[in-house]
Amino acid sequence: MNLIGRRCKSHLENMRANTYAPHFPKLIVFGILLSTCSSLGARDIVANEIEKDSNSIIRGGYIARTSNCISCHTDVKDGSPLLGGGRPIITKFGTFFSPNITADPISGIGQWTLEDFRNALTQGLSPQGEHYYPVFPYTSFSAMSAADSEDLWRYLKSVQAFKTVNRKHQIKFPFSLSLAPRLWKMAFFSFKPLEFNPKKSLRWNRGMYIVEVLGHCQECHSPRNFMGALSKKTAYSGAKHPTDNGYIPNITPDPTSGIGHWDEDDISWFLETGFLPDGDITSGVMAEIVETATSQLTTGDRQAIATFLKSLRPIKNPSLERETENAEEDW
Amino acid sequence: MVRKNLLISTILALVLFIIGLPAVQAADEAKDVIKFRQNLMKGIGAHINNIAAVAKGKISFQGNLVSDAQGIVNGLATTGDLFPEGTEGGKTNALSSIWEDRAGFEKTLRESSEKAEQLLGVIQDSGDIKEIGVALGALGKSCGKCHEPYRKKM
Ligand code: HEC
Ligand code: HEC
Ligand code: HEC
Repeated sequence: MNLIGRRCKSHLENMRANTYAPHFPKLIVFGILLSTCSSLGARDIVANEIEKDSNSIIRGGYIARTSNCISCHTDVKDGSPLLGGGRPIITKFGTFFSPNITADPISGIGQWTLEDFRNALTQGLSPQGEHYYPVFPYTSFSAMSAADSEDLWRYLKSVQAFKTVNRKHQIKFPFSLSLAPRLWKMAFFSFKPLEFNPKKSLRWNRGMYIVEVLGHCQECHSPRNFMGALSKKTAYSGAKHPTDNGYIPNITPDPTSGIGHWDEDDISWFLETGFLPDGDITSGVMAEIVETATSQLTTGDRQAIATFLKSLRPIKNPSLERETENAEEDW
Repeated sequence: MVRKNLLISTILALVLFIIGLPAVQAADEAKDVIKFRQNLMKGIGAHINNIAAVAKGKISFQGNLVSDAQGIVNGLATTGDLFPEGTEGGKTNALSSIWEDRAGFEKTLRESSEKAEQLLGVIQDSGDIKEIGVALGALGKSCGKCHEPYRKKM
């Protein structure tokens, strides 16, 4: 098999290669030898089943943190068990409660197959064919690589099962109709696989994958239309906060309303510590995301995010123009 | 008689001076107090930034670390006095919850001060960049714990 120099179909597998500390050296070696292109990538060749399995769980845990599955599906405030659900998510359409995704057969997903899980994660479809509301960010997860979703599945299976009582969403009419998420999906959801961009570096591609898919950063940082749908044109340019009067910042490199004055190191440092370049500190959901997700990434992954964000097209968001320092600074 | 009056008024002046010290003078205009405390917070941010530059490895000069950490400790020590009643309106991001829950506000302030002292301690005792980074991170979280409930979002 001459794999060297051959273009991969699924480059997402390649993007994974510089991710996970535990697997790093092996993947590098195999990556060089085989350039991991075929669907039977390095992972299937690496060591024996058992080792593969536990590594798979470790990688799955990494993805679960990066993708906020854990923080969104665990109600820390009410002390619910890990992945036991019940966490409220407040939106302008009402309050949603994340369900239990432990392996409990009744309140959790113990009876699901890997296929069921993939359909939920990438199509927003339940095993009974019901449509999920897009608060569950399957709109981003839809481009998750098959290998990543399988690792995630194994990780979820490895977490202790807990029986809970899933809380009913409190959704405003007419969004409460079961037809609503279905119509919404018909209008706004289409499955688009993420294309590896061969003109860009591996680091950039990895960054794109984390930002667009795993980290679902656009779910908060992009403006939405009246139906809550995102537009590619204005992606990452900031949005009205759904619950308070504030704004979610513009993270494109626009100099006056975005983060154009941050360099890549500033972004990595922020993702690791929550500190902004002026020594201020982030708060609210972003502080949570830094704590539960981005601070736990590998340094390489944080740098990849930074590289990708800096490469975005700068978009001016008039509502987020910073006040220029003026004479009022003086006494 | 004259001397006695002088004595009394000196004592009185002293007492007033001492009482007046901890709190911002009532006569100060609210908008100026607000600006003052915002500058103080920015100053704290600037000290953080300098320490961060060292912790990140961008700057190798460590000669100012103690002074920067001391600056944070000092700044937080007067922060409480800079939120007197009557300074909640106007060009401020301070939320009224500060005055509704003063005890809670003071508590988060104390916790943040402790973290700042710990950072100072680490800098004085070990000077190890990794440890400084950890202490700085802990301090940052404590700042956030006050900003979260008591400061307007952007
Ligand atoms: C922003 C919060 C949020 C995040 C992040 C999130 N979910 Fe969810 N998830 C939800 C909500 C809310 C629902 C329920 C949607 C509905 O009822 O329409 C849900 C539903 C699900 C379901 C269906 C459960 C069932 O019983 O039908 C699965 C499985 C699931 N999520 C797994 C995941 C995984 C895996 C991740 C990480 C890759 C994840 N979720 C990230 C909020 C979230
Ligand atoms: C659940 C919503 C949410 C998600 C998901 C989210 N963010 Fe944020 N982000 C916010 C909010 C809200 C703020 C503002 C925090 C504040 O007011 O202190 C913020 C702030 C930021 C900032 C600081 C910008 C500034 O000018 O202060 C950066 C950079 C950032 N986020 C990057 C990201 C990246 C990268 C991701 C994906 C890995 C992400 N965010 C995912 C809500 C979110
Ligand atoms: C006990 C509460 C409290 C603590 C602790 C605290 N802050 Fe603040 N901070 C505030 C409040 C309230 C404001 C808004 C002040 C205003 O606008 O009047 C503020 C504002 C700020 C600002 C913006 C100043 C401006 O107007 O530009 C910065 C920067 C800042 N804080 C940094 C920090 C840092 C760094 C720490 C930790 C070392 C910290 N703060 C600890 C309450 C606190």
